[in-house]
Amino acid sequence: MKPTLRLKTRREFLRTTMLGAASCWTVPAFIQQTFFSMNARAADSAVQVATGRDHPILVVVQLAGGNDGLNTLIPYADDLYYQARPRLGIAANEVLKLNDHLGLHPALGDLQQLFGSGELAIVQGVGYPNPNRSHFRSTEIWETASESNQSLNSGWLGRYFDNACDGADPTAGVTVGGQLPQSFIGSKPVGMVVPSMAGNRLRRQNASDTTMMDSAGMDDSDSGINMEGSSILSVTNSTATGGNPLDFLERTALNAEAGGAKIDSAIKQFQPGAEWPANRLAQQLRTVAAMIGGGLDTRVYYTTLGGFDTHNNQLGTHQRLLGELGTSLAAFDREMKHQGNHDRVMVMSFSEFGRRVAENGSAGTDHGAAAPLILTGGKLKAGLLGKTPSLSSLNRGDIQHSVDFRSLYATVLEDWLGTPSAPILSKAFPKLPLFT
Amino acid sequence: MANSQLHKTWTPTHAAHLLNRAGFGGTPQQIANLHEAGPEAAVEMLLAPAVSPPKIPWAEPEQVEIFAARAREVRQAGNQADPEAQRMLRREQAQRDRDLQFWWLDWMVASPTPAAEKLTLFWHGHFATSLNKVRNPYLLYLQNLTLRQHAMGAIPELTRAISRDPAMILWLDLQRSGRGKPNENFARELMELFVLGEGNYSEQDVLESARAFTGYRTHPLRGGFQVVQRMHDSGPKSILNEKGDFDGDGVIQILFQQEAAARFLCRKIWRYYVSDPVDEGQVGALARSFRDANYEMRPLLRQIFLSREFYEPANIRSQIKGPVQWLVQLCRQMDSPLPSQVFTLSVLRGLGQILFSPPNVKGWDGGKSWITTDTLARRMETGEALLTPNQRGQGNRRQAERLEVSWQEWVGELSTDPGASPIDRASWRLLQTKLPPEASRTILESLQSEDLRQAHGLALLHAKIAGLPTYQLT
Repeated sequence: MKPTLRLKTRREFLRTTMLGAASCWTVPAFIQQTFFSMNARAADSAVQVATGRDHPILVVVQLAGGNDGLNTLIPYADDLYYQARPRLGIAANEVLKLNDHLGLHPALGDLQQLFGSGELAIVQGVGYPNPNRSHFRSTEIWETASESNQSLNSGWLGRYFDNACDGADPTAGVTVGGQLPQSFIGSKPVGMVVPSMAGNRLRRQNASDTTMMDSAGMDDSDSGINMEGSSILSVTNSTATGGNPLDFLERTALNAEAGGAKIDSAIKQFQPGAEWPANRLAQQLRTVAAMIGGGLDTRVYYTTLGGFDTHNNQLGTHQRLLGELGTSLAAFDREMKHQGNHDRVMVMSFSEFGRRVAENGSAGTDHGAAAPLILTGGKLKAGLLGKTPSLSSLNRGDIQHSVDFRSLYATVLEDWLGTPSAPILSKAFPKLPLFT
Repeated sequence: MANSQLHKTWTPTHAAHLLNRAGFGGTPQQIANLHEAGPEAAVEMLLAPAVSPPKIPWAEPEQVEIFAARAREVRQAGNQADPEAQRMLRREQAQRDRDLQFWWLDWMVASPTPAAEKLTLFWHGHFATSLNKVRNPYLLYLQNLTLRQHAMGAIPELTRAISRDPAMILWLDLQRSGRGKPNENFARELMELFVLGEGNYSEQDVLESARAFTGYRTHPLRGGFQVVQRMHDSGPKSILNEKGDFDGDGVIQILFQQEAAARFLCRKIWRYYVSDPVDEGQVGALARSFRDANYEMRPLLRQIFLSREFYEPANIRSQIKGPVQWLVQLCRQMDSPLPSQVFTLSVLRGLGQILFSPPNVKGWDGGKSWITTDTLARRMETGEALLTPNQRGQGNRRQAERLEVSWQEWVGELSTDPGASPIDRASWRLLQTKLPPEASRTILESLQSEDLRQAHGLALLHAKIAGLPTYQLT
């Protein structure tokens, strides 16, 4: 299919396309060089049935706001835990025990099961030197894999797309809902944002469909959800990349055109094989499952669950959020098994920091540092990795890290995605024994 | 800055740029009026004091009391509460949330002082506070009035007012912060996001400042403010090398004594109005005069809007419109009110900007982050759909989802000027520049069977332009 100037005939003008107005938009001149490669690739994928069934897939789940790791993986046998948290401490007989000193929050029953069946790994004490307690700065550090005092313009996944992915297929990375995460920013224009699914359709069918109103956000008062942590529902940082804004707009429009049709058709064909809970993260993961099941070439999917900034009245909110996390990850795991994709998909969750060991005066916790990190997948070496952090030897009230998060990235890049990590992370980090 | 030079080169394009950036753009007539006035007078017109928006009926104190009484009844009934009464209460609250958003959007379109609204929008993003947690639209309404009241005045005063604002007190957890166990959330964001910026204070400063704001209390339904003395830590504190028994106001005073404050705020304001990345030299110069003028906004804005840099070609049509700007500007340019409340809010939600519900306390990042494959597709489709008349044979599209445009009037204007080019006029109205020849040609070819001097063809012409990628720029 030869790239041509866009539609000119009256019939095509009346046709409903995803970008109806693109019918009048000429291909920008700057794209001459790259257009052939981009469009050819898009043309190829339009012509071929998507047959991506072999490559490994990473699904990232961002827990925005700073998840309280100490109440997620609970050291129920440590007195210091209960001393620091007279109100927030989870009683030992409620903790879902994983061994004789650690257990999961009671809302994570699904994850306890996955742990038992060998599909869940938890890396303890993940953080970085000189931790930053600002949501935005710390999220940026995790997304760009920078040093604590360094500012990078690109994200670790963006650099992965630059290094390891052929051409500039905009669907190599997909975010469900919200904005493109900073981790996707690289020199290639990769990264699609897809709205999350309601039922079996994307939330937006066309501009004038007013019946599909998003019920998150404005109508939470209807459902009486406690939104205590919700001063942080999502954290994305704008990127300071230069470049002509018009070029950026036109390139994005091309990406939307090239990638959109593929994604739409994968989602339309989706038949869930498992039961899915009805929560925000589940909707996003279900959309991811639809795209994986539809055979897209996408390597990395990105989802976000917000509301973890529990400065105030933490117990109820945290319980609800962990419940969402646990049930969604379990449903996703079931769906992957049903699709036969269980062995080539892994999920990595992360949060910009954990929270202070001691509770504050508002029955909540303030920003902290290191925290445990949860991963699921068929090829994971399940279990607890890293050292259980000390609650007596703290860094100004915060848990000290023993695993640099970039070690985790290095492991995922090399042992999962199959690409050298040093060029992406700017140096080599010791890897973890994550995979069987 | 060179006022006399600006006079010599003051073109309609400059006047349009001023109106687009200082406000939300306008009709060709409004641009022409500004142009005729000359740069200084145009800027003074725009910096006029805010005309207040109309009041919201349910935001009158007696109505607030009635609602609060019903809420209290339901809460006290606990498990015995009538579930239908609870549901009704929640539904009404949700409707008020929507009414609040639409009230402000409507005023942004209708206000005779759009620059005041644009600045209030800046402060709303700056002191970002969300209904999601505050759960009371009345309090966000009060905050909006406070922001508007102080928007063009002295910023330390605005910051003090915000530290006592009921919605803010609930939002950043001051409500439970007490002596002995201070809550850090507000103190941290005050320094990091509101006044100084990261790197200009220490963790210790945050902890000490948190003590100063202890005892701040409001009522979650009625608002109001007081400092509960027995919860307030009035002991000695050390903040940024100042020692004293500071209270909240004292801390704010110290923060504005720091050099970092002026630079931090000017950088943000420059980014909002002029360019990103910022011109560091300009920001430095502005920061010095801002500080000297005790952080008054009018002189700062005057300086910016009369500066050479503001009118540099690289800074014109170089900014990606936020969703609110995009919609309000389209309405102002087309001289139309907003579409229906339901449709308007649904569109803005899809584009990622819900007023009174920013995603987090940092507000909206802006710039390129507004544009993803998803949001750009929606903008292009919706922009076109808002102006497209019914296609013959395609059934009726509800008026609720289109703008009300006086096409016949414009047809009349065209008929009195046979030399006028419909496409040039349409592109001046929407883009304030001519379309590149290729784009022009493609649009005209796609509309070749239409009469562009009749209402139907004219509407389609505008619709096509409003659906272009380049329409996202201002």
